[in-house]
Amino acid sequence: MSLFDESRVVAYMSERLGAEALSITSVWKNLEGWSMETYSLGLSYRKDGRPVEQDIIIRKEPATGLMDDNYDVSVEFRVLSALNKTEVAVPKTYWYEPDPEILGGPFYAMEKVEGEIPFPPPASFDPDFRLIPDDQERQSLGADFVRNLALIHTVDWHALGLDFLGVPGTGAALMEVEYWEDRIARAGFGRKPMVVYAADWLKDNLVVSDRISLVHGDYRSGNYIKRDGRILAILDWELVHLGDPLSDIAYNLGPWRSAPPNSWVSHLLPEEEFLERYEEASGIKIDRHKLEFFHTLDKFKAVGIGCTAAGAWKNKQGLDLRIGVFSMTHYISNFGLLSELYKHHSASKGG
Amino acid sequence: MFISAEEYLQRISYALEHQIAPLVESDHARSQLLSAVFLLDQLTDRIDYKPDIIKQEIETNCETIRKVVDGLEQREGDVPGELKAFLEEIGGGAWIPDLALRRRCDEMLSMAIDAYFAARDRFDAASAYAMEDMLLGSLTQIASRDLGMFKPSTSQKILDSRG
Repeated sequence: MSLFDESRVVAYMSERLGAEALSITSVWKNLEGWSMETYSLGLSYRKDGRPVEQDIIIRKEPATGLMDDNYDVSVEFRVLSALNKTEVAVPKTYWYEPDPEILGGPFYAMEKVEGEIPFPPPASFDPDFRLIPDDQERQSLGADFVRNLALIHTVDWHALGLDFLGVPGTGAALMEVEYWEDRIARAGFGRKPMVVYAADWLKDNLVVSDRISLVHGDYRSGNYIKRDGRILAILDWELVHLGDPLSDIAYNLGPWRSAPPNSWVSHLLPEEEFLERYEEASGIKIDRHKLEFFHTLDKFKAVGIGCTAAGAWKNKQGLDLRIGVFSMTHYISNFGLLSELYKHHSASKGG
Repeated sequence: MFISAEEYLQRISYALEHQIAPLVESDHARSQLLSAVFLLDQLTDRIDYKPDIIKQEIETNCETIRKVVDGLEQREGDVPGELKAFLEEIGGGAWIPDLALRRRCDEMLSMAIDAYFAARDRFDAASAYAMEDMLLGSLTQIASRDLGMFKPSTSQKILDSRG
């Protein structure tokens, strides 16, 4: 177990769990993500005289990562712990450990939800590709997918104590634009004309948010665990915030779809069905005009993430080489943003 | 005898992808190797045509700045002094197309775009449309060129080597 100082972790876990004769039977590091580090630990111990075999998930702040150096894993922990009190499918959290000495960074522990994570290709052009080959299972997952999104958007975040995420008021759209502008600036490439044009356009066309919800920020296939046709846990809450729920809707109608002609949202269900089910489950009416703004904001965010990856690649040592590959995709996201701006531009002539 | 940087990189890339990668058993190590191949493939055109790329961006951006400044001046909009000074400097013709100037050009065009949006209400609908058409056209010219040099390369193999 070279990832940690094993004796130290054994002592720590024994004390935390009130365990005797604890040993670590397996360690698995998830290499999928490039930000927060995720480990699965297999533990074997005795408690109250009885043998226990337990797998737990550790989510740790990285020494270096894709986004920037402002990682705070306690945010995810607090949000997930709050959502444990709701019907949203999330893993049960155990504890948060701020001491960076134990594992090399603050972390939290949560239950290991057994199941599969269907991970879609980032761009699929094969019309016959099926992320979920069984139609009945796909429809069942589609229903759970929408239901959980509706639940997230309708939780009483104030009652759950989630105000600490920052309450944007009706200016949620401006806050998001400024947030991504700031992230792009922090990437350190100076001002880029396309970014400036897009930010100016977005600020000229801001929409007023009449509802503030808990927003996941990266809600899609690849970020849930399924088993027996049900979604058991929504994962990867790194971009969670309070904001306009349309932000998550626009993201879902973006690139994480199956290939045409189906173009299923997150490879699960048709767009119209997704929107209808969502409106019915959440009671939130989707304003299609406002949604257009969030589509553009979504493309702006994609450029922001690409810039951040490029900034990390340029300035940090020891990064996964795939971040370098990812940073190169900003050429694609730049073009996507411009296409979106052209769409509005053409419409302005018609109007 | 001359072997271009592009040819060297292509030969290295081919050997890594087709001769070395199949011998690597670890999924993770193979994904790193194929990522290196992907990055080499992206660099080939960008190295050999680097001076042309920089020159094209500077010329395109300067022309765009000039049009924005003209549009603003015609409508008595605020034109930052820094922009005017930059155009005068470039107009003198004694500039070197290097990375520093390209960065400065980006800054200046960004400033011009901000100035346009700040003065947008001085433009009637047709003039605003024409100005935005010109700006988007200029930005797209660069973005299309960059996209044209992007090669999907080993991206699918990297995904297949997830680990």
